[in-house]
Amino acid sequence: MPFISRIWNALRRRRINDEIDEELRFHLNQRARELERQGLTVQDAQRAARLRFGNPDLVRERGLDVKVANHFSSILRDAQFGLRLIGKAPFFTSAVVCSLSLAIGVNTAVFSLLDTVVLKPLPVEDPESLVFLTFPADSASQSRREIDYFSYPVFRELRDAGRPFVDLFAMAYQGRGQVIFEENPAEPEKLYAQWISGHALPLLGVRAAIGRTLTAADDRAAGAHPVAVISYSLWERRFARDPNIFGRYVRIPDPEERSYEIVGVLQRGFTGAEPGILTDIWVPCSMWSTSALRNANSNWLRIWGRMKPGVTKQQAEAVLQPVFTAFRRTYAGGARVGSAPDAFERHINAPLHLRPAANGPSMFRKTYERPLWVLMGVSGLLLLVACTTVANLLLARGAVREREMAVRISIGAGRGRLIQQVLVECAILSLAACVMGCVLARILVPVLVGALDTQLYPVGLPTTLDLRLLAALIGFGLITTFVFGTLPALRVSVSDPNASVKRSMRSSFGRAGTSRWFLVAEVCCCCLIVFFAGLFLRSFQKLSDENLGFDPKGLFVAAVDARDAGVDGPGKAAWHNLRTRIGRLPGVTSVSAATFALFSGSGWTRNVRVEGRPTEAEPVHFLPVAPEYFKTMTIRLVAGRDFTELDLQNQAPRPVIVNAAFAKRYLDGALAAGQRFEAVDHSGATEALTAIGVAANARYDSVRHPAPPTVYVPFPGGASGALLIRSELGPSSLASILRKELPRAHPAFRLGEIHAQARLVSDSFARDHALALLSAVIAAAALTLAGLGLYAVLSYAVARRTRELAIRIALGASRPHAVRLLVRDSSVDAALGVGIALLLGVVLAGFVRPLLFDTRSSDLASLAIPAACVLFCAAMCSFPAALRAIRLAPADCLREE
Amino acid sequence: MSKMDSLHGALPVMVLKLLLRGGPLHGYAIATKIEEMSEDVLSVEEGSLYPALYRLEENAWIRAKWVKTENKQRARLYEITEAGRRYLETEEKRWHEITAAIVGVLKRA
Repeated sequence: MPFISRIWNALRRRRINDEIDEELRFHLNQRARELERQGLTVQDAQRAARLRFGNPDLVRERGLDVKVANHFSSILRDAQFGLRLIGKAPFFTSAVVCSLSLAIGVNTAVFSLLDTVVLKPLPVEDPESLVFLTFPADSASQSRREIDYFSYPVFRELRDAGRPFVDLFAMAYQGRGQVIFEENPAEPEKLYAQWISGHALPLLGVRAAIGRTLTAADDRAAGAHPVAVISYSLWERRFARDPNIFGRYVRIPDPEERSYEIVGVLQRGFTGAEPGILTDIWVPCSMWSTSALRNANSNWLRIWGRMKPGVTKQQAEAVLQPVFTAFRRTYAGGARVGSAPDAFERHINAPLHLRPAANGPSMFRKTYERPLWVLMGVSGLLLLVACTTVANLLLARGAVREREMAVRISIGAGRGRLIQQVLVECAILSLAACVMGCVLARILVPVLVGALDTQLYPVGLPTTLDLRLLAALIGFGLITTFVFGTLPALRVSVSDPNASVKRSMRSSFGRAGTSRWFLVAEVCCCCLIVFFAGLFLRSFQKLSDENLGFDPKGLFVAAVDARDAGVDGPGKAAWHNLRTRIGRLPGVTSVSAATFALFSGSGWTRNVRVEGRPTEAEPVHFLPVAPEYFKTMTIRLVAGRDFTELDLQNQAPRPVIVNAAFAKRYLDGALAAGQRFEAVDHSGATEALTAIGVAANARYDSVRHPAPPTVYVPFPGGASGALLIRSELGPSSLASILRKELPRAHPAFRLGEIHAQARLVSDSFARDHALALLSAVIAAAALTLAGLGLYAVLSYAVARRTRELAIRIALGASRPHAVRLLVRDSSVDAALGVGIALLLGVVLAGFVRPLLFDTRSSDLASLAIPAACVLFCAAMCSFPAALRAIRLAPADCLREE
Repeated sequence: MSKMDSLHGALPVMVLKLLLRGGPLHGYAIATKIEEMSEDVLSVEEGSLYPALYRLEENAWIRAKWVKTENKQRARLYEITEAGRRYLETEEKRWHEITAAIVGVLKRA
C-alpha cells in the first residue's frame, strides 16, 4: 500500500531524510574512492564524483517527494505547532474543550436514545420488507388512533387468506411477570415474556445462538408445546453462558403458572421486536390460555407480515380486507347494540392497513418519538451555542494572534497554509472534545434512560456504543470543527498584513476582533433553549399541581395474588378478613380494596344503556371497589351512600356508585333514588345496575384529561386484587408487615409489588417529567456556555480598548460613560438575539404543542421569563469586564503602553 | 536533457533485471553495472537513479535493507520482490515488442 507507507513515512520524515542523505553519501564516497584508485587526487576525485552524480540536494528532495506524503506531513507539522500553542494557554484550552465536550456528549447521548427508539432498524433479516397490521379506532374522539392488536382467530383467517402475498405471523403484547428459574427458585426475576406464532422467528430471520428457535412445529395444538427460547443477554446474565442449558425449565406465571423447557438461545443482540422493551423469553402462542385462543373478541396479538418479493402493500391489503370485514361482521358483539347504523357500518368496514415495521412497532416510540426529536433539536441548539462560544473565544484570541499571522503572510506563507493551520488547531480541539464527549455520553445515557423509566413498565433500551453512534459522534465533531473553525480561518485568510501590523503598532480603536453575528446567534440559540425548557417546566408544574379528585400522598397500593385458591380466589369472607386485619394494624389509617388501582395502567370499559336515551358509542370506565374505598381514597361522596358489606352479595340489579361526570352525562346531573341502567359488554351480554350514590370526580388513568364518566361496582374479591392502604408507614415496613399478615387472613394470599399511589400518578406523566428535567439541564448548560462566551468577548474588548478608555477617561469622560461605551454593542446584540429567539420560538412551538399541558407558548410568562433569564445572565457576565473598566487607572495604563 | 531522462521508462526495467540476475545490490553498484554493461553508452547522471529506486520501492517491486560494509559504512542493499519479478516479466515482454516494432519501422522506412 504505497499510500499508507507514504503517510507512515511522513510521521518519520526526519529519519527518512537522514537515510537518504546517508545513502547518497555512500554513493559519492564509493565513486570518489574508485576515482582515487584510478589516480586522481582526493579533492579531484570528490569533485568528479559530485559532477557525475548531479546535485545531491535536488536528488534528496525528489526522493522525499517519492517517499513521503508531503501534504500530510505539513498537516502533521501544523498539529505539532497547534499542540504547542494549546499547551501554552491551558485555561483557554480547557474552556474550549469543556464547552465542546459538554455539547458533544449531550448530543451523542440524546442521539443514542433517538436512534435506538426511532431510527435504528430491527436487528433482523431485511427489516424493510416487514409490515404490521393496523386499523383505525372506532370512536370519533380518537379517530386518528390506530389499533394494532387482534384476536387469535382473526389472525388465523388473515394468515391463510394472505399467504400468496404476505407471510403473516403473530407476536403478542409482552407480558411482564415474575419468572422462576428451576435451578434457583429463591431468586425469581421480573422479565418480559412474549407469545409468538410458530413462524415468527424463522420469518423474522432470527437465528439461534445455540440450540434451536421456535418453529411452526411448536405451535400446532393448544397447550401442547411447553417450550421456550431465551435471549442471549438472559443466557449471559442468568446462566453465565452455560452450554448445557437445554432441558432446564423456567416457570412463567401467565396466563396460568406453568413450566417451559428451554430449547434454545437466540442470536446475540436480538432483544425483541419492540423498541422500549427488552424481551427475554419467547414461548409459542399455542401456550396462551385456551379460552383466549378461541375468543374472537380477546385482542392480544400484533399481526406482523413479511411481504413476498414484488408484491405491493395495496395488493396485500386488497386480499386481506374482505376477510377482515367478514370477520368483524360475524363477531361485532357489543358494537352492534344500539349503535347508530352508520357507526356500526364504520365499525365493520374499518380499513386494514399494512404499516412498515422496519424499526419495530412500539408503544414506547408512540409516546417518546416527538419528545426525543424535541430533545435532539434542543441539544442541536446547545451544540450551536457551544460552537459560537468557542468561535468567539477563538476569534478573540485570533485578534491577539493577528500579528503572528500577518508576519507569516509577509514572509511568504500561502493563505491556504494559514487556513489549514487554523483548521488543524480546531480539529485538535474537536478531537479532544469528542473523546471527552464520548465519555460524557456513556455516563449520560443511563441517566437519560433512568429519566424515562417508570415503576410499572421499566424501559429497556439496548443502547450500546455501535458504529452508528460512533459515526454520529464523529459527525458532531466535524460539524463543530467547521462551524467554529471556519470563521477564524477565513478571518486569517483575508487579513491584510500591512494594515494589521500597522494597526497593532497603534493599538486598535473600535470593536474587538469578534463577530457580532456570532454573539447574536449565540444569545438567540441560548434563549430558544431556555424558552422551550420554560414551556416544558411550566407544563410539568401544572400537571403536578393538577387536582386529581383524591389525595395520592400517603396512599399505598399492594398487589395481592390469590390464584393458589383457584380461578375465583378464596372468596368474599377471606377478602373481608384481610381488609379488617390490615385496618387494625397500627399506623394504618384506612384500608380498602379494588380489582386494580387508579393510574395502575389497567382499565375496564363497558358501554352503558340508560332507559329512554340513545346508547352512546363512547364506553364508560368501570372499577370494582370494596367498602370504605371512597374514604381511603379521600374521594368525596356527593349524594347517596357508600357500599356496605351487604352490597357485596350477588344481587340484581347490582348496586353501583357513579361519579359526577357520569351523573351529568347520563342522569341529567341528579341522582334519582334507585336509578336503573344497563351495562353492555363487548360480547353483547348485559347487566342491570342501580345507582345508590354519586361520588366526586376522580381521575382514572390520566392527569391530562378530565375525569371520565366512571361507575364503581362492588368488589367481592377474586383471584387477584389491589389493597389500598392509607398509612404513615414507609413502603418497606409496610411490605414486611403485609407479608406476615396476608397468609394469616388466608393461606392463598401472596403479596405482589407495593407502589406508592403518588408514584403511579407521577409515572403517568413520566414523559413530561423527563422532558422538563432534561430540557432544564440543557438550558442550564446553554446559559453557562453563553455566559462564558459573552464574558470572553467583553474581557477581550476591555483588554484591547484599555488605551482608548484610558485616554477618554483622562480627557474627562465619566466612568459610567466609558462602561456604557464598552457594553453598548453587546447589549444591543443580546437584545437582538433574544428578540429573534422569541419570534422563532413562537413559530416553532407548534411542534411541541401536543406535548404541553395547559401551557400556551405565546403568553407573557412563556416569553418574558426566558428573555429575563438570558438578559440577566448576560448582565452578570458583563459585570467583571465593566468593573475592570470602572477601576481603570488612566495614568497607569498609558504608562504601560 | 540528461541521458537518464531519455531512459525514463527503461531504467526501472533495467534495474529490476539487474537485481534479478545479480542479487542484492546497492545503488552505486547498480549505477556502475548499467554503465559497464551498456559499454558506457548509457552512462548517466548517477543521482537520477535514486528517485527511480524509491519509486520501485514504494511500489513494493523491490525491498531494501541496511547492511554494514567492510569499512564500517552503512550501505542500502536492494533486492527484487515476487511482485517485482512478475512486473519485470510483463515489462520485459513489452520492451521487446516495442523495440522490435521500432527496429522494424526503422528498417522499412
